[in-house]
Amino acid sequence: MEKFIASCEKSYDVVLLCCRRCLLNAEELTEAVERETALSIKPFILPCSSRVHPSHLLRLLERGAKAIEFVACLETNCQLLLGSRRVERRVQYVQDLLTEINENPERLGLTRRQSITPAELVELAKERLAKSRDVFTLEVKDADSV
Amino acid sequence: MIFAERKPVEELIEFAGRYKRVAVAGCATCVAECAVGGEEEVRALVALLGMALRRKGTPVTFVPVMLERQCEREFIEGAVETLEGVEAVISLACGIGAQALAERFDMKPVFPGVNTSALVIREDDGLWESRCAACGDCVLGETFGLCPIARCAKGLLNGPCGGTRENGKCEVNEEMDCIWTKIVERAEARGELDALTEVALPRDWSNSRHGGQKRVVREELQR
Repeated sequence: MEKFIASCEKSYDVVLLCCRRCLLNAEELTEAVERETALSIKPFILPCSSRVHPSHLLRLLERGAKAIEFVACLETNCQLLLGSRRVERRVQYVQDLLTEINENPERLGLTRRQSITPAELVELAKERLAKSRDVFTLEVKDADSV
Repeated sequence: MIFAERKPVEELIEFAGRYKRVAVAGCATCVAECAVGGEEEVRALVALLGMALRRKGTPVTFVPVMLERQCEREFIEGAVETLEGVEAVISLACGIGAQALAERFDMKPVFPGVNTSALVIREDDGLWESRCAACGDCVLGETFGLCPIARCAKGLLNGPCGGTRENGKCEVNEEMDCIWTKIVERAEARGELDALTEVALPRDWSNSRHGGQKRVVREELQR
Protein backbone atom coordinates (compact mmCIF):
# COMPACT_ATOMS: atom_id res chain seq x y z
CA MET A 1 0.00 0.00 0.00
CA GLU A 2 2.86 2.37 0.83
CA LYS A 3 4.38 1.89 -2.63
CA PHE A 4 1.01 2.46 -4.20
CA ILE A 5 0.45 5.72 -2.30
CA ALA A 6 3.95 6.86 -3.24
CA SER A 7 3.16 6.12 -6.89
CA CYS A 8 0.10 8.40 -6.84
CA GLU A 9 2.09 11.48 -7.73
CA LYS A 10 -0.37 13.09 -10.07
CA SER A 11 -3.94 14.00 -9.22
CA TYR A 12 -6.12 11.15 -10.35
CA ASP A 13 -9.84 11.58 -10.78
CA VAL A 14 -10.56 8.31 -9.03
CA VAL A 15 -8.43 5.89 -7.05
CA LEU A 16 -10.06 2.50 -7.35
CA LEU A 17 -9.35 0.07 -4.53
CA CYS A 18 -10.67 -3.44 -4.99
CA CYS A 19 -10.42 -6.65 -3.03
CA ARG A 20 -9.05 -9.35 -5.33
CA ARG A 21 -11.54 -11.85 -3.96
CA CYS A 22 -14.48 -10.14 -5.65
CA LEU A 23 -12.79 -9.16 -8.93
CA LEU A 24 -13.37 -11.24 -12.05
CA ASN A 25 -10.87 -11.20 -14.94
CA ALA A 26 -8.36 -9.09 -13.05
CA GLU A 27 -5.96 -9.31 -15.99
CA GLU A 28 -8.34 -7.10 -18.01
CA LEU A 29 -8.41 -4.30 -15.45
CA THR A 30 -5.47 -2.31 -16.81
CA GLU A 31 -6.94 -2.40 -20.31
CA ALA A 32 -10.39 -1.37 -19.07
CA VAL A 33 -8.92 1.58 -17.20
CA GLU A 34 -6.79 2.69 -20.17
CA ARG A 35 -9.81 2.46 -22.47
CA GLU A 36 -11.50 5.09 -20.35
CA THR A 37 -10.06 8.33 -21.65
CA ALA A 38 -12.58 10.75 -20.13
CA LEU A 39 -11.17 10.37 -16.64
CA SER A 40 -7.97 9.21 -15.01
CA ILE A 41 -8.34 6.13 -12.83
CA LYS A 42 -5.64 4.61 -10.67
CA PRO A 43 -6.58 1.05 -9.74
CA PHE A 44 -5.13 -1.05 -6.95
CA ILE A 45 -6.03 -4.63 -6.16
CA LEU A 46 -5.79 -5.57 -2.51
CA PRO A 47 -5.30 -9.03 -1.02
CA CYS A 48 -8.12 -8.11 1.37
CA SER A 49 -9.95 -4.81 1.71
CA SER A 50 -9.18 -4.72 5.44
CA ARG A 51 -5.51 -4.08 4.63
CA VAL A 52 -6.40 -0.43 4.21
CA HIS A 53 -6.04 1.89 7.20
CA PRO A 54 -7.82 5.26 7.47
CA SER A 55 -4.46 6.98 7.06
CA HIS A 56 -4.03 5.37 3.63
CA LEU A 57 -7.35 6.78 2.45
CA LEU A 58 -6.67 10.24 3.85
CA ARG A 59 -3.21 10.35 2.33
CA LEU A 60 -4.57 9.38 -1.08
CA LEU A 61 -7.13 12.19 -0.87
CA GLU A 62 -4.54 14.63 0.42
CA ARG A 63 -2.20 13.75 -2.45
CA GLY A 64 -4.86 14.86 -4.87
CA ALA A 65 -7.21 11.99 -5.63
CA LYS A 66 -10.56 13.62 -6.32
CA ALA A 67 -12.41 10.50 -5.21
CA ILE A 68 -11.82 6.99 -3.93
CA GLU A 69 -14.07 4.09 -4.80
CA PHE A 70 -13.62 1.06 -2.60
CA VAL A 71 -14.96 -2.27 -3.77
CA ALA A 72 -15.14 -5.04 -1.19
CA CYS A 73 -16.76 -8.45 -0.90
CA LEU A 74 -20.22 -8.99 0.49
CA GLU A 75 -19.97 -9.27 4.25
CA THR A 76 -20.97 -12.93 4.18
CA ASN A 77 -18.44 -13.72 1.43
CA CYS A 78 -15.33 -12.31 3.07
CA GLN A 79 -12.69 -15.03 3.05
CA LEU A 80 -11.02 -13.44 6.04
CA LEU A 81 -14.43 -13.27 7.75
CA LEU A 82 -14.08 -9.79 9.21
CA GLY A 83 -12.24 -7.93 6.45
CA SER A 84 -15.26 -6.63 4.63
CA ARG A 85 -16.97 -5.53 7.84
CA ARG A 86 -13.83 -3.79 9.06
CA VAL A 87 -13.37 -1.80 5.90
CA GLU A 88 -16.94 -0.53 6.06
CA ARG A 89 -16.26 0.89 9.51
CA ARG A 90 -13.01 2.44 8.39
CA VAL A 91 -14.64 4.05 5.37
CA GLN A 92 -17.37 5.44 7.63
CA TYR A 93 -14.72 6.76 10.03
CA VAL A 94 -12.89 8.59 7.24
CA GLN A 95 -16.18 9.94 5.85
CA ASP A 96 -16.93 11.35 9.31
CA LEU A 97 -13.51 12.99 9.42
CA LEU A 98 -14.08 14.51 5.97
CA THR A 99 -17.40 15.88 7.17
CA GLU A 100 -15.63 17.39 10.18
CA ILE A 101 -13.37 19.41 7.87
CA ASN A 102 -16.24 20.38 5.54
CA GLU A 103 -15.07 18.07 2.76
CA ASN A 104 -17.67 16.11 0.81
CA PRO A 105 -17.72 12.64 2.43
CA GLU A 106 -18.89 11.25 -0.90
CA ARG A 107 -15.33 11.66 -2.16
CA LEU A 108 -14.96 8.23 -0.61
CA GLY A 109 -17.39 5.39 -1.07
CA LEU A 110 -17.75 1.67 -0.57
CA THR A 111 -19.52 -0.79 -2.83
CA ARG A 112 -19.96 -4.46 -1.99
CA ARG A 113 -20.06 -7.01 -4.76
CA GLN A 114 -19.91 -10.78 -4.91
CA SER A 115 -18.15 -10.60 -8.27
CA ILE A 116 -17.37 -7.64 -10.44
CA THR A 117 -15.79 -7.18 -13.87
CA PRO A 118 -13.23 -4.50 -14.75
CA ALA A 119 -15.79 -2.73 -16.95
CA GLU A 120 -18.22 -2.56 -14.03
CA LEU A 121 -15.44 -1.22 -11.81
CA VAL A 122 -14.84 1.62 -14.24
CA GLU A 123 -18.56 2.45 -14.16
CA LEU A 124 -18.44 2.57 -10.37
CA ALA A 125 -15.45 4.91 -10.58
CA LYS A 126 -17.44 7.26 -12.83
CA GLU A 127 -20.37 7.22 -10.43
CA ARG A 128 -18.09 7.97 -7.50
CA LEU A 129 -16.53 10.92 -9.28
CA ALA A 130 -20.00 12.30 -10.05
CA LYS A 131 -21.03 11.94 -6.37
CA SER A 132 -17.83 13.59 -5.20
CA ARG A 133 -18.70 16.62 -7.32
CA ASP A 134 -22.17 17.02 -5.86
CA VAL A 135 -22.54 20.20 -3.90
CA PHE A 136 -21.93 19.32 -0.29
CA THR A 137 -23.65 21.23 2.46
CA LEU A 138 -23.28 20.41 6.12
CA GLU A 139 -26.49 19.51 7.86
CA VAL A 140 -27.10 22.25 10.39
CA LYS A 141 -29.23 21.24 13.35
CA ASP A 142 -31.42 23.91 14.89
CA ALA A 143 -31.05 24.46 18.59
CA ASP A 144 -34.36 22.76 19.44
CA SER A 145 -33.37 19.45 17.86
CA VAL A 146 -30.04 19.16 19.70
CA MET B 1 -2.09 1.79 29.83
CA ILE B 2 -2.80 5.50 29.59
CA PHE B 3 -5.81 6.14 27.40
CA ALA B 4 -6.44 9.17 25.22
CA GLU B 5 -9.15 10.20 22.80
CA ARG B 6 -9.07 12.24 19.62
CA LYS B 7 -9.74 15.95 19.96
CA PRO B 8 -12.23 17.59 17.59
CA VAL B 9 -10.38 18.35 14.34
CA GLU B 10 -11.67 21.92 14.43
CA GLU B 11 -9.56 22.64 17.54
CA LEU B 12 -6.44 21.38 15.79
CA ILE B 13 -7.20 23.32 12.62
CA GLU B 14 -7.65 26.49 14.63
CA PHE B 15 -4.26 25.97 16.31
CA ALA B 16 -2.29 24.83 13.28
CA GLY B 17 -3.75 27.60 11.09
CA ARG B 18 -1.75 30.21 13.03
CA TYR B 19 1.57 28.83 11.76
CA LYS B 20 3.37 27.94 8.55
CA ARG B 21 5.27 24.86 9.72
CA VAL B 22 3.90 22.53 12.38
CA ALA B 23 5.15 19.17 13.65
CA VAL B 24 2.69 16.42 14.50
CA ALA B 25 4.45 14.33 17.12
CA GLY B 26 3.30 10.79 17.84
CA CYS B 27 4.29 8.44 20.61
CA ALA B 28 4.85 4.73 20.07
CA THR B 29 3.62 3.52 23.46
CA CYS B 30 0.19 3.93 25.13
CA VAL B 31 -1.42 6.28 22.60
CA ALA B 32 -0.27 4.02 19.76
CA GLU B 33 -1.95 1.09 21.52
CA CYS B 34 -5.19 3.01 21.83
CA ALA B 35 -4.87 4.17 18.20
CA VAL B 36 -4.88 7.94 18.62
CA GLY B 37 -1.21 8.83 18.59
CA GLY B 38 0.78 6.13 16.83
CA GLU B 39 2.47 6.28 13.44
CA GLU B 40 -0.72 5.66 11.44
CA GLU B 41 -2.61 8.31 13.37
CA VAL B 42 0.19 10.83 12.84
CA ARG B 43 0.06 10.19 9.10
CA ALA B 44 -3.72 10.40 9.06
CA LEU B 45 -3.78 13.67 10.97
CA VAL B 46 -1.09 15.23 8.80
CA ALA B 47 -3.15 14.39 5.70
CA LEU B 48 -6.43 15.54 7.24
CA LEU B 49 -5.10 18.86 8.54
CA GLY B 50 -3.21 19.40 5.30
CA MET B 51 -6.45 19.04 3.33
CA ALA B 52 -8.45 21.18 5.72
CA LEU B 53 -6.03 24.09 5.80
CA ARG B 54 -5.39 24.02 2.07
CA ARG B 55 -9.13 24.22 1.60
CA LYS B 56 -9.25 27.25 3.90
CA GLY B 57 -6.57 28.94 1.81
CA THR B 58 -3.96 28.90 4.59
CA PRO B 59 -1.70 26.00 3.66
CA VAL B 60 0.57 24.72 6.42
CA THR B 61 3.54 22.40 6.10
CA PHE B 62 3.13 19.52 8.51
CA VAL B 63 6.14 17.54 9.67
CA PRO B 64 5.37 14.06 11.03
CA VAL B 65 7.58 12.98 13.93
CA MET B 66 7.50 9.69 15.81
CA LEU B 67 9.03 9.37 19.25
CA GLU B 68 9.44 6.06 20.98
CA ARG B 69 8.24 7.68 24.21
CA GLN B 70 7.40 11.34 24.58
CA CYS B 71 7.37 11.02 28.37
CA GLU B 72 11.11 10.20 28.52
CA ARG B 73 13.47 13.12 27.98
CA GLU B 74 16.12 10.90 26.39
CA PHE B 75 13.78 9.99 23.55
CA ILE B 76 12.85 13.62 22.94
CA GLU B 77 16.50 14.47 22.38
CA GLY B 78 16.49 12.22 19.31
CA ALA B 79 13.94 14.47 17.64
CA VAL B 80 15.34 17.83 18.66
CA GLU B 81 16.72 18.72 15.25
CA THR B 82 13.38 18.14 13.55
CA LEU B 83 11.39 19.89 16.24
CA GLU B 84 13.65 22.90 16.27
CA GLY B 85 12.79 23.42 12.60
CA VAL B 86 9.06 24.00 13.21
CA GLU B 87 7.11 26.90 14.67
CA ALA B 88 4.72 24.79 16.74
CA VAL B 89 3.96 21.21 17.70
CA ILE B 90 0.78 19.17 17.94
CA SER B 91 1.52 16.37 20.40
CA LEU B 92 -0.50 13.19 20.05
CA ALA B 93 0.99 11.81 23.27
CA CYS B 94 -0.75 11.74 26.64
CA GLY B 95 -0.62 14.82 28.84
CA ILE B 96 2.69 13.66 30.27
CA GLY B 97 4.34 13.42 26.87
CA ALA B 98 2.89 16.73 25.70
CA GLN B 99 4.24 18.43 28.83
CA ALA B 100 7.66 16.83 28.42
CA LEU B 101 7.81 18.29 24.90
CA ALA B 102 6.57 21.68 26.10
CA GLU B 103 9.22 21.65 28.80
CA ARG B 104 12.00 20.83 26.34
CA PHE B 105 10.83 23.49 23.87
CA ASP B 106 9.52 26.05 26.32
CA MET B 107 9.48 28.89 23.78
CA LYS B 108 7.51 26.87 21.24
CA PRO B 109 3.72 26.38 21.35
CA VAL B 110 2.90 22.73 22.03
CA PHE B 111 -0.76 21.89 21.58
CA PRO B 112 -2.33 18.63 22.83
CA GLY B 113 -3.79 16.71 19.91
CA VAL B 114 -5.63 14.29 22.18
CA ASN B 115 -7.53 14.32 25.46
CA THR B 116 -5.95 12.01 28.03
CA SER B 117 -8.84 10.46 29.89
CA ALA B 118 -8.22 7.16 31.71
CA LEU B 119 -6.07 4.20 32.70
CA VAL B 120 -7.49 1.29 30.77
CA ILE B 121 -7.19 -2.27 29.61
CA ARG B 122 -7.93 -3.31 26.02
CA GLU B 123 -10.94 -5.63 26.23
CA ASP B 124 -11.32 -6.28 22.51
CA ASP B 125 -10.56 -4.68 19.14
CA GLY B 126 -11.73 -1.10 19.51
CA LEU B 127 -12.92 -1.55 23.09
CA TRP B 128 -11.14 -0.26 26.19
CA GLU B 129 -12.33 -0.18 29.78
CA SER B 130 -10.88 1.70 32.71
CA ARG B 131 -9.28 -0.38 35.42
CA CYS B 132 -7.46 2.10 37.62
CA ALA B 133 -8.14 5.62 38.87
CA ALA B 134 -4.59 6.22 40.18
CA CYS B 135 -6.20 6.99 43.56
CA GLY B 136 -3.04 6.44 45.57
CA ASP B 137 -4.38 3.95 48.15
CA CYS B 138 -4.96 0.64 46.36
CA VAL B 139 -7.74 -1.55 47.80
CA LEU B 140 -7.49 -4.41 45.29
CA GLY B 141 -6.25 -6.68 48.09
CA GLU B 142 -9.58 -6.30 49.89
CA THR B 143 -11.81 -6.37 46.83
CA PHE B 144 -10.63 -9.60 45.22
CA GLY B 145 -8.62 -7.86 42.52
CA LEU B 146 -11.50 -5.75 41.17
CA CYS B 147 -11.30 -1.98 41.62
CA PRO B 148 -14.43 -0.32 43.02
CA ILE B 149 -12.90 3.14 42.70
CA ALA B 150 -12.41 2.98 38.93
CA ARG B 151 -15.17 0.51 38.08
CA CYS B 152 -18.09 1.35 40.37
CA ALA B 153 -20.06 4.35 39.10
CA LYS B 154 -20.36 5.53 42.70
CA GLY B 155 -16.84 4.54 43.79
CA LEU B 156 -18.29 2.61 46.73
CA LEU B 157 -15.99 0.84 49.16
CA ASN B 158 -18.91 -1.09 50.65
CA GLY B 159 -21.15 -2.45 47.92
CA PRO B 160 -23.28 -3.37 46.12
CA CYS B 161 -25.38 -0.24 46.39
CA GLY B 162 -28.76 -1.91 45.94
CA GLY B 163 -29.33 -0.53 42.47
CA THR B 164 -27.83 -3.47 40.61
CA ARG B 165 -30.00 -4.64 37.71
CA GLU B 166 -31.28 -8.22 37.59
CA ASN B 167 -28.76 -9.05 34.89
CA GLY B 168 -25.86 -7.89 37.06
CA LYS B 169 -25.40 -4.58 35.27
CA CYS B 170 -24.99 -1.17 36.87
CA GLU B 171 -28.06 1.02 37.37
CA VAL B 172 -26.11 4.01 36.10
CA ASN B 173 -25.03 2.36 32.84
CA GLU B 174 -26.71 -0.76 31.55
CA GLU B 175 -23.67 -1.70 29.47
CA MET B 176 -21.42 -1.74 32.50
CA ASP B 177 -21.11 -4.66 34.91
CA CYS B 178 -21.87 -3.90 38.54
CA ILE B 179 -18.35 -4.41 39.80
CA TRP B 180 -19.60 -5.14 43.31
CA THR B 181 -21.64 -8.04 41.93
CA LYS B 182 -18.42 -9.31 40.37
CA ILE B 183 -16.56 -8.85 43.64
CA VAL B 184 -19.21 -10.83 45.52
CA GLU B 185 -19.21 -13.55 42.86
CA ARG B 186 -15.45 -13.90 43.03
CA ALA B 187 -15.47 -13.95 46.85
CA GLU B 188 -18.16 -16.62 46.77
CA ALA B 189 -16.23 -18.72 44.25
CA ARG B 190 -13.18 -18.60 46.51
CA GLY B 191 -15.28 -19.48 49.56
CA GLU B 192 -14.34 -16.17 51.19
CA LEU B 193 -17.67 -14.37 51.22
CA ASP B 194 -17.31 -13.65 54.93
CA ALA B 195 -14.43 -11.28 54.14
CA LEU B 196 -16.96 -8.90 52.65
CA THR B 197 -19.00 -8.64 55.83
CA GLU B 198 -16.32 -6.43 57.31
CA VAL B 199 -17.12 -2.77 56.78
CA ALA B 200 -14.40 -1.00 54.84
CA LEU B 201 -13.39 2.18 56.64
CA PRO B 202 -13.06 5.49 54.85
CA ARG B 203 -9.95 5.29 52.76
CA ASP B 204 -6.95 7.56 52.84
CA TRP B 205 -7.35 10.04 50.00
CA SER B 206 -4.27 12.03 50.99
CA ASN B 207 -2.19 10.25 48.36
CA SER B 208 -4.74 10.82 45.59
CA ARG B 209 -4.66 13.28 42.71
CA HIS B 210 -5.91 16.41 44.46
CA GLY B 211 -3.75 18.81 46.43
CA GLY B 212 -1.38 19.85 43.69
CA GLN B 213 1.42 18.16 41.85
CA LYS B 214 2.55 14.83 43.23
CA ARG B 215 6.27 14.60 43.86
CA VAL B 216 7.81 11.28 44.81
CA VAL B 217 11.36 10.95 46.04
CA ARG B 218 13.06 7.57 46.42
CA GLU B 219 16.48 8.11 47.79
CA GLU B 220 17.61 4.55 47.09
CA LEU B 221 17.26 5.27 43.37
CA GLN B 222 18.90 8.66 43.43
CA ARG B 223 22.53 9.34 42.47
